[in-house]
Amino acid sequence: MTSHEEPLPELDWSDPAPPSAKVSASIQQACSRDLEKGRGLLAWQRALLSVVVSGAVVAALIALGLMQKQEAATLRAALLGAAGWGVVHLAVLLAGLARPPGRRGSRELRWALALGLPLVFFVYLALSAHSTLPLSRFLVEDTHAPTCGLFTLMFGAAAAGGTLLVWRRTDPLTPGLSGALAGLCGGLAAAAGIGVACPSHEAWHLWLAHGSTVLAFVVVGWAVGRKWLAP
Amino acid sequence: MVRAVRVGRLETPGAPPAYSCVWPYTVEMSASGDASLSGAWLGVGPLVTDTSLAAATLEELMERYVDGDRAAFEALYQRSSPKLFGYLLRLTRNRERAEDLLQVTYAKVHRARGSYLRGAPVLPWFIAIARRSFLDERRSAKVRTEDLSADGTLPEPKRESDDLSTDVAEALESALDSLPEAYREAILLTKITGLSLAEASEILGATPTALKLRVHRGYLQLRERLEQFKRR
Repeated sequence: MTSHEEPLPELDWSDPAPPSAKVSASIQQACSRDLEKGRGLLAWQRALLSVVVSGAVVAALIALGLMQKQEAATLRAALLGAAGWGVVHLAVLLAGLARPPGRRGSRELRWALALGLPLVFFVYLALSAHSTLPLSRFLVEDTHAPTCGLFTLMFGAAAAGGTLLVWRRTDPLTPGLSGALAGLCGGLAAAAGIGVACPSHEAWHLWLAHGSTVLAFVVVGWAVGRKWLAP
Repeated sequence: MVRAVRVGRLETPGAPPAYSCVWPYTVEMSASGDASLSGAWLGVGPLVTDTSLAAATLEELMERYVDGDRAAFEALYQRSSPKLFGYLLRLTRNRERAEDLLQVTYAKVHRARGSYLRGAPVLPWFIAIARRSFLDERRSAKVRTEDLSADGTLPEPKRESDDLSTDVAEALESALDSLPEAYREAILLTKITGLSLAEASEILGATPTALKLRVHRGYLQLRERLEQFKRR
């Protein structure tokens, strides 16, 4: 047995003296105020609310797309987008947000979701692209990309912001990671919806105007989550 | 005559340990051995003698507190504050700062109680809030006033006392203070506060394996320093 494998003797840690009575009384007084106002939403109520917020964004974008063109390809994209959004949202809720902090999926699993799913989405976009322009030509010719990106950002911000608000102050342990997952939900909701409404099938357009916004929402969600999701 | 629920530390000199009172109440013993209590929370709340509260888990107490039960908060405070205060005291090495941070922590808990997801382990929840408050406070304190030492580096935080240790308990605390922060926090959370490796690793943002290694290495250093103390 090496020295690192030897069991270490337990050390006797003495309890420090408690805080002063004045401090305890002050805490007691502060925490007894407005007790009746404290009851918040239960986890399943928050989950339902976040599904409604994010689902409304997807539904609005899909409806917009279907109003423009009612072709088989558009319907297929709508179904795929809605199904993809549903699966991702469910995975994020089950592994992360809807379970109590400390009883959630492992940190590795949740990071894999937050970073892996946008990459899977990039692959999906690559496979669904009909053409690929040289990057220099795309930058000059595709005047539609900034508008499309802006729409994705606006709708994504509504979905991600709504999700972050619904889960506000619920995660003291991994607020950044939970924020990244909320960002992923919002970003994917918008990207999946805009995929139906957008007429372009060019690869660079899909990657930059649709796909990159999902990654951007993961990063912004991480930063905002550290502020909003921590108590 | 009321017998105190034994959940706290004995504060009144002369009262036998068998009748430890719920801190910070005072206890008086009658000739027959019964205890009477006074000074309940400096008049702010009722005494916790409810046996259902004494038997409840921290999670159950938290849920009752969220539902507006003041007595549940008292029991929750009595049970959680010693660990939380011990953690903050060892983190800050300063009693006043630890007390300030304890107040900030409970204020944040109170503000966020509606967001408590039922079933979540309470102590890691509290400790994570306390740690975040400590880091925020340290960051703002560094921005405000931090004089560089003669060699141009940031000074180590001052300890309450730099006297040579006189007994093993003091030597242990002093050895803990001298450990690198990563080892100290790992030991603080797992060995002293009593969190599981999984809970502590969530709080510190490390894997359980890495945390186990930190605890092991920290303990080796502690043991070495204790042996040096015993040889003195």
